[in-house]
Amino acid sequence: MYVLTEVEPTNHSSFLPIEWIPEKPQFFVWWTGTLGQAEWLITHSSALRRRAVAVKCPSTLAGVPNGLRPLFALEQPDLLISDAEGKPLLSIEITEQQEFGLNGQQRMARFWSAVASKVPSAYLLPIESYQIERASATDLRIFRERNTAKRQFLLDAAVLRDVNGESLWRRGVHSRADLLRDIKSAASTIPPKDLQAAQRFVRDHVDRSGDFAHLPAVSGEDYLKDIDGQLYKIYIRSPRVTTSMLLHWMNIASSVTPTYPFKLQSQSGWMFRTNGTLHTLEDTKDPHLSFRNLLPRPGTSEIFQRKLKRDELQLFIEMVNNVVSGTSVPSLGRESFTEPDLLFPKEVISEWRSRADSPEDIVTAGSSDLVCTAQTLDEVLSGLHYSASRRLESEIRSLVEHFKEFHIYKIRCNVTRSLADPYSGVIAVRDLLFCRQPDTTSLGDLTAFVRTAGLVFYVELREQGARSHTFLLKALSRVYRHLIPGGRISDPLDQLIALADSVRAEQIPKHIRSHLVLSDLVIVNRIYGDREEAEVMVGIPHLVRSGGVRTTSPLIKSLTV
Amino acid sequence: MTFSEEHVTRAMARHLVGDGWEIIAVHPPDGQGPFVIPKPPRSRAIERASYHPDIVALRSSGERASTTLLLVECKLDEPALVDDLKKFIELAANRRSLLFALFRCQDFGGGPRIAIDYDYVSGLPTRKLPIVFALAAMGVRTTTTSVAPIGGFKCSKYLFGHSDLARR
Repeated sequence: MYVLTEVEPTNHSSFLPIEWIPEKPQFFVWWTGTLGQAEWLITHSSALRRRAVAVKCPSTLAGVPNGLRPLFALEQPDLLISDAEGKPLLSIEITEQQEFGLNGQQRMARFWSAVASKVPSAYLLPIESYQIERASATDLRIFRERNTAKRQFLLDAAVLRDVNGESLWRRGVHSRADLLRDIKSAASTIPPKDLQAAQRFVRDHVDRSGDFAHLPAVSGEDYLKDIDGQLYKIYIRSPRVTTSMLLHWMNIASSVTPTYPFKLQSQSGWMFRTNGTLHTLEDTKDPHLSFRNLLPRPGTSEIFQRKLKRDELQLFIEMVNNVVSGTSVPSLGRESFTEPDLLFPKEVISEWRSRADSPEDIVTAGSSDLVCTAQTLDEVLSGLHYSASRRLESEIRSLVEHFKEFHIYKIRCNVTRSLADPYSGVIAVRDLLFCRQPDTTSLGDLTAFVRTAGLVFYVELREQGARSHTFLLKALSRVYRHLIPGGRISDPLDQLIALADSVRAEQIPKHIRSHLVLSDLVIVNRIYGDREEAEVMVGIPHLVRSGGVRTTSPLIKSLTV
Repeated sequence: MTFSEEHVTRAMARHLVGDGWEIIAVHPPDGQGPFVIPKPPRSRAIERASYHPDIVALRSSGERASTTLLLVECKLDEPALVDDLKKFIELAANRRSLLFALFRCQDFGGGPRIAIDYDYVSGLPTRKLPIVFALAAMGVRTTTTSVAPIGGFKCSKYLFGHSDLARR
């Protein structure tokens, strides 16, 4: 049995009933988020209750059993259930924040680690929720409309999100009832380009008649509000590109080990207070969970997948109980999350990335996902002003010749802040989504990096970012000197190989860790007015395939259990 | 037993419920805050760009337009409340932030029973807005005292003795 030494169970500050805290725990719930989340889990899981204790996971990982460390190698999950011997059982992430930009993908490197170690994982997130934000110029025009009938119609149309109220008004549609009738009957007043999305919105959010319980639409009366001269709007933020990528990623990963999303179901009555997010406030049955901003009690939220007859938190707890008790985990309807036109429009997939036919398409692109041939990438590299040792240049040549196609994730920024979040997760998403075959050769051992396309992280730094940012080679050199005191290597390629041979992944700081561990190639192009200066560096995946980094090296071994 | 700020927050929430308040949001230390109040763009940032009160509660005397919003900040040790006091002073000086907090609690069709009549209160002068503040910490024994108003809004201080903090 694993004996806790440097870390202590959080019994001394636990809110659990004392009689629930076992003297000899069979399971540990390691937490990096809040103690409350761990105790919510222990309380509601029959497999954990009275058998598990919560343990705070120190950010240094001091005292964390070696068998668990691979789950923390790239990022630290909110919760990790282990048995008493220190074997990881389930990795869990909980986020209440609705997708905004890339924040939904930010945590995906944690799931990458779980998949690499074939440890099941669960991601509890809103997927779809209410959003309050500053209104647009169009909204301001609606708010200022003096014709009260027209204003009301424009508000009713605005909450449907996918129709242009002004245009419809001109076409003679003047009431909400007429608008809904025309959308449902595909009348000629609704432009064909808007029809499909509008019909889906009405089905999901007005009639709420689909397989999923989508959120009720906001009413026109509630849509806009003036707050001391600043206009705010409330609307339903639905999953689009980044969330659809995330859900597909989890579906792919589930072919290796259960990697399940669970929807935190919002409630319209709470849309202003908490953007619809529900919490346990006063819990009379389990008072130790009261007033801790915890998820609702399983079985008390609206059922999201109607045919399953259980709410998402009941399904999540079923997964927890199955994993902890060692029984197989059923699909729990998770495959439905990626079915076309159920959670997001199927056309969204075509927006994931665009094809770059020429080097200019890549060089002039802003932050985006691009796919290109090896030849196009080669032409991009030829146009960059960078220096490389003969050996590094040879590795770059060998990489370009290895793949026919490359996925490029490009960011353009002018800041000096760390590039850790959200990019570690974003790169992990691109690995499984764009660079792997859905088969056991490619997915069975993620750390062999058997890919069908190369993965490139391309950073374009401008202004202050170009002048001051240390990403990548300066930062790599600093990390090398810090982790290998007395090291005398100056070539970046040799520094990276030396690190791989000497340290575990989690020892490499976050601001360069996942970028080097998951990318085949990292390009940094600094633009100073009319002058450019680039850095090009191969990453660990290429070096593993080329034999430059051994699969038995400490860094590669630290990625899996 | 070792106490943490979370013990204070929970003791305060229990006390408020006993006093007729409806808790609508709790923000534990290091947790994600569900009730977010944006700061004005040019506000001097004390923490990020928004306020996340530790406890948000509402109480109604039964009449329309009589609902009051309570914002609470908690610390384990009483001297540390000085930072929370500064936070409240800054918040109380920002009418838009105060109105945003009231907007979040507004009455609307299908909404909760206890709520703020936002259209009415948004027309009131700032000092008349139905908002009160409270500070809470661990004390030798459980006491409640009124402290100096913050920006014209009532403020109370609650201290909780060990026996109240220890309740699970």
